[in-house]
Amino acid sequence: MIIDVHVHTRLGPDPHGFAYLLDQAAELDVTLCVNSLSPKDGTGMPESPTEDEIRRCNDWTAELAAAHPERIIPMWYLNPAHEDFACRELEERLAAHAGLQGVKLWVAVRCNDPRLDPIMRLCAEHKLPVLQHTWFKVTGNLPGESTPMDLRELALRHPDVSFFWGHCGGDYEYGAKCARGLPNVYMDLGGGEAMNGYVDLLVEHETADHIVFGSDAPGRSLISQLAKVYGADLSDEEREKILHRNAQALFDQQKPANGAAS
Amino acid sequence: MIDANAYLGNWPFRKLRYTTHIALLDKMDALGIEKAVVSSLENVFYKDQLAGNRRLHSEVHPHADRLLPAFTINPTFPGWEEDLDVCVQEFGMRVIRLHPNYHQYGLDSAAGSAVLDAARAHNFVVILATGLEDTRHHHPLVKVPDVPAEQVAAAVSAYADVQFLVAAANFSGVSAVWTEAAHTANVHFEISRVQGPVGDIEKLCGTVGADRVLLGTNLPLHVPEAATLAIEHAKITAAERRMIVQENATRLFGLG
Repeated sequence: MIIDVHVHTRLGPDPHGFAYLLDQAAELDVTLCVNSLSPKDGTGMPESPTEDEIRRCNDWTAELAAAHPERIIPMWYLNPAHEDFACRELEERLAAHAGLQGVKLWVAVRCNDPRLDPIMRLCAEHKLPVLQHTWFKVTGNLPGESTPMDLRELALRHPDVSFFWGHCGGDYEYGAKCARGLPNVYMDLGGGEAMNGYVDLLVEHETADHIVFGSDAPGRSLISQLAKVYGADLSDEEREKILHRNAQALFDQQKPANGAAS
Repeated sequence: MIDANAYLGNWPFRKLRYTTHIALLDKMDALGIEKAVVSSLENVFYKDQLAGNRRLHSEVHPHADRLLPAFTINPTFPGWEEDLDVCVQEFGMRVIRLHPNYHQYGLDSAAGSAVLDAARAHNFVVILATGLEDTRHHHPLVKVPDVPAEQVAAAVSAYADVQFLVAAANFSGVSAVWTEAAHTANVHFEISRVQGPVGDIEKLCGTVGADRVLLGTNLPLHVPEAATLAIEHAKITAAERRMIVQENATRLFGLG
């Protein structure tokens, strides 16, 4: 069993990628934590989506989760710049979806921005893990793109929220150092290239207890990202923690609150 | 299996596993890779390529049944023609590796033409390293864009009688070279930095054809399992898989 905390409905122009991914996930017994950064009609992937675009993105996620409840955990996409609307959108999704779920934040607002705080309070209340995109790009970040240093600030400010640390910071060497000593963060392996020593370095700094598997599929292949784990020098126990046990433990915290969660 | 794209040596920016020929051979054994085409990783930054090529030869020669050297030439460095002759006459050079981006010349420049003319004259297989790793991860003092696809496409088209392996291109890079090249009968691609999107290997087989796709790991910079598992799990025929992991490299590099 594998839990992939970082899956998109679509990333790039290929509309068939998600169907391929679902087939492969069934073959490999992968549960997909899915977020949609673009509406189903393919009208782009805006960096700061409007309220309507957010609704339509999440409608697509909800549709897929309803169609594949055994395979998909929805991760509701929010834009913190919307402030009150972002919380209302999350509350409506929580009311409508009985199963496991989480939250996805991308590049609309850097994550140390105080406008995230009301969303974080809701996530703490409902034990929703937050997948926060981070990247430290030597080629330059987008204006609203969070760095690993930004996420460290947010994680310290909200110790009662569990974070999936998107892309391990992009440049995982920056991410590994920024995440050290934070008990509420879980390094998401998804995205980027399968660099030699990637997971080994993270285990050295974070231990296997604070790493979760993510792929960033369908833009990245599931297999190339699994190779990061299978190509690392890990014990069987460490591999199991990374591939599913750590994420499972976080989602298990939702079960008493949501009842029907499975 | 044959790995069409690997290196030996250290990298200045981070600690790597599998940098020595002993460690590389052990890893190859673990993965079921029988042979590999290897170059000096240090030659990416050495000014004097002959120093790196000599070391490569000394490490590889005792394992000639498993490791085929691809010697690196920088046509902007003084005396490169003589150094190339040393590689041919002393080391038995058959494969040349070029790093146009790290060595700062255009494939369409005088230096690029000179080294490709030499490759043609010697009937070398040309490994054209389009990049080495994700440019977003580069050291802030050493930001090196990948070789532009249009330059690669123009070079393989202009040297239609030279066999090329385009190395370490990502999926969009492979697609762009294939689309833009006027002549493609002489071009092959290895998969080390493809790594997506989902269905990547199947898509490559459908576009460039399985007879042009080769297993490559880009060791020691990348996790080799990204390539081996991609082929293992791809929904392709057994015949296509054999081509990618062995037959294409055997044919291209003349491996018996």
